[in-house]
Amino acid sequence: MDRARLLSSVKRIQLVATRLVENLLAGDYRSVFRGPGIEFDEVREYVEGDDARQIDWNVSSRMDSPYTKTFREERELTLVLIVDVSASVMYGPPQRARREVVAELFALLSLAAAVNNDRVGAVLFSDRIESWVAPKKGKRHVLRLIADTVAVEPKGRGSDLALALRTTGEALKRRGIVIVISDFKTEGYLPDLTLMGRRHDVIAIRIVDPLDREYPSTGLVRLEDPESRRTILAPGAVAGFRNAYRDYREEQRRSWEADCRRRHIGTLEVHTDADPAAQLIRYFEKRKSR
Amino acid sequence: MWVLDRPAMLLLLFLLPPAVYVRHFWKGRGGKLVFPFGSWGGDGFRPPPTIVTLLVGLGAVAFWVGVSFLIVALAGPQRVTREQVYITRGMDIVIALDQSPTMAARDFQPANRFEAAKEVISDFVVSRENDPIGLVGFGKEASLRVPPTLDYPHLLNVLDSMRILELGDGTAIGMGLAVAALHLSQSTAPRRVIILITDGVNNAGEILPETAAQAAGSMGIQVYVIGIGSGAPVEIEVTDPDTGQTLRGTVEDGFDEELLRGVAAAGDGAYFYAGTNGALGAVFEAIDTVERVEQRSLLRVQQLPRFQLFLLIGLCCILLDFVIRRILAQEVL
Amino acid sequence: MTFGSPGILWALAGLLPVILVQLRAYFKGRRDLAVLGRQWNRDAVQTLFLVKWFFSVLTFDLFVALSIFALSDVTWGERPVVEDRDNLDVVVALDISRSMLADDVEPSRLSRSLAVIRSVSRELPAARFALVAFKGEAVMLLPLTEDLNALEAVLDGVSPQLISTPGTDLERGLARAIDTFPAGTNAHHAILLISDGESLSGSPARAAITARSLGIPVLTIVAGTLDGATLSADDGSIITDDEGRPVISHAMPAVLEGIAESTLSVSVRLNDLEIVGVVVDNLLGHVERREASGFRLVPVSRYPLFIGAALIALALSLAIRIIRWQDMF
Repeated sequence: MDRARLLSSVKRIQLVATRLVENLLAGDYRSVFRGPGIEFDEVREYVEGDDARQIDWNVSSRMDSPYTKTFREERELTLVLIVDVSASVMYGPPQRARREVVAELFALLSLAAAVNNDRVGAVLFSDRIESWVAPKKGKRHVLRLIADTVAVEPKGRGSDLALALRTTGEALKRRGIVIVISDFKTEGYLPDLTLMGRRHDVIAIRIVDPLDREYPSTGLVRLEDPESRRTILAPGAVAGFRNAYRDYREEQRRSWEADCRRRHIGTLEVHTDADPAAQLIRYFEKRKSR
Repeated sequence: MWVLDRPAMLLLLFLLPPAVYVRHFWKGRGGKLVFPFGSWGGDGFRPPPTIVTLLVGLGAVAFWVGVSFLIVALAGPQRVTREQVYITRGMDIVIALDQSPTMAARDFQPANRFEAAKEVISDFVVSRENDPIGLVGFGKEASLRVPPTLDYPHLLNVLDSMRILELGDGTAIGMGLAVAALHLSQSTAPRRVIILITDGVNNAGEILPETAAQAAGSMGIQVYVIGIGSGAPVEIEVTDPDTGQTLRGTVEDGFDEELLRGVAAAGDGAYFYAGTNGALGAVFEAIDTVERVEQRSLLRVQQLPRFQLFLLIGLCCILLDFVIRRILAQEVL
Repeated sequence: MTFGSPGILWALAGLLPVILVQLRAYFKGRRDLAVLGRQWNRDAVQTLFLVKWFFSVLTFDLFVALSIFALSDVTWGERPVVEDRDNLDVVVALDISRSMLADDVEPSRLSRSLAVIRSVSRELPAARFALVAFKGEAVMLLPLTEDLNALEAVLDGVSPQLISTPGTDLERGLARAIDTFPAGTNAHHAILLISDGESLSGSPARAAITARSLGIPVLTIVAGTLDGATLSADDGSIITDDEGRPVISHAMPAVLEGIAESTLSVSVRLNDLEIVGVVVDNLLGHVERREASGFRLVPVSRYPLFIGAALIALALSLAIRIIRWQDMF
């Protein structure tokens, strides 16, 4: 992607995401992710209507007027977005759609966190950690993150999700929110996902292209896997071949869902042929009402 | 024998392994679409074997076999035949064979005089090279069976098919000689020879043997006469080729040796008597040895191009691959 | 430019289905690419697909066409080969099918043919003659011989009754004639083929190719006229077809002319008044042309050129498909 297109793409995503977040998502986001508890904020003069139970008698006697304690929810939430930038997401014709969806989801989630004054960190991974940004507050920081994510030129091709989960787990000392955005075309990440699920609030967002469900009825074509570079001959006209592909994909989906459920990890499938924001909002609304 | 006109072209075959590699195994080749069917760290999607992919593999094999055939065709495959050809004119020989019933006398191996004579004649023919040989049969009448020709296989066929009594009951030695001489009359051969084989007395025909022999002699044709038979009474058994009747009997009349000597003398040749198989063979060997003209020959090499066969097979193989890929599998790229 | 096997050129018509298949593959391929590639870079993909398709198809079709040309044995130019033969062997292949009894040539096609053979043999006393007669079957009536008396005798006995297998198989007749030349002779070979050209079975062209490859010219005599004549049965009545119309036998010169042309000889009409002279001149002409120089000029087959070009076209076609263009496919 050339520089100009990249910049305009970043601008567009930032703009759209900001508007969506301010209008719709921020509230949902906050209500889905509550803080870990109530913390004392300050003591101020009692005004009519305050809860009398919260009067701080020690201070009141010292000041000779009623003072009341105020509390607030724990604000110091930390959101870490683990983003798959492997070749299966980033590379080649049908993957263009996946890449855009990933960028959009990233922007929406990080901006929602920023609006709620949370700290946002990001891990971009392929077969290595492509970039690690420590959680920080502030909208400027988040906008910067979004730009970097959209513009990322990954050096690796594969997708080592286990490594990304381990790295995040080691860096994130306090309880936080971890959202994994990936196509989950990877294996061997379950032990790390289990650990992560125990310590943090984890949501797995799976990007799904229509071609990830069914193989279309086409002529014979040689396919190359962007990650392993393995090639196969795909006789798309043969029903047996298409069925085998569909069954394989369905089995992948089912086992992914079951694995996440068992670990009390939220699952969301985002389809590339529909608006990702709408799918995200619907998911949050559903989760809030639970 | 097969040879190649341009064997150097076969070096093109060395280009095949790299071409096969580039087409089927090279990672950097084009003509493929990126499609994430894999799973990092795992197996990913393994397509089940289908008949179509199997056929496509078969087509690929056919394609490369076809290309190999094209390269061989390009190298110019030729069938080479070597043939010894004579550049000199051989001598003309006409063999006049008695087909009268007495030739059925069973004093010769394997069956009778006639069969023994046929056997010896065929050995004689086989031993000659480049000498046109003809065949005249005579009984009551005489007839040309084969004109002097180098087509020995044809001659031997006809000889084999000759039967006693075909030309009637009788021995027209004079007629036989005359017919043989007639068919040598226009010959341009350096030597012309008649070999007359008979066991009897001239008892038919309008031409006297001496007259015919003299005529032959005057044309410069040599006449060898071979008298066969023992003279003693012998049994005969003969089947009439027209009626299918089998006749049996005993012959006693020996042959007219004086007459035969006279014929040979008139024909500037020689008379031989052959009482047994061995003697008959020896007589022919003697004639074979004496009657030789100098022959010069050369080896002619003939090359018949056979590229079309290879080209056709190659083209068919490549078109087979085309049909499999484009029609059956509907290949996109 | 001549063709050793011009009939093979008809195979060029086979290019049409090939092109149709390729066109279908193009339209189907466009659709499949759109499905598999989604909307990604659509115009560039389709343009590249068109370009790659066009050039790979063009080169492949070129390969097929060039191969067919090579198969048909294209020749041009002549090349001398050493020829140290002398004298002349002529095998006469005579059609004795019933249609040869038609009287559009006086007194009949067969009688006139026999007369021509006699005259020609007398004009060429040094030559050797053989006679092959054919109908549905071919038999050698006379082996190659210098003995003109024998030839005369055999010619006297020629009639359609000699062979019982009905039909006219020019290929067998010609093939038998080619076989009649005995091995080991050093004479020039020529075949004199006499027929009305009605080929009911067999492939005369195939036999002609053999004759050509052996360097045997086949001089053909077309017995009969284009107008044709009715045929008489044994009892003298005129042969009719199922609907009672008389069957008319026409001379068909095309096949015979084709054979003569492909073996570098000529074709003569039986009713040509100069026929004996023409035949003798041509038979001698073959000999003279060869003996004058000690060389025989043979057409140079250009097939290596065509196979080479065909292989290059095939390699190009393959390369266009295999080499990755514009970082796409």
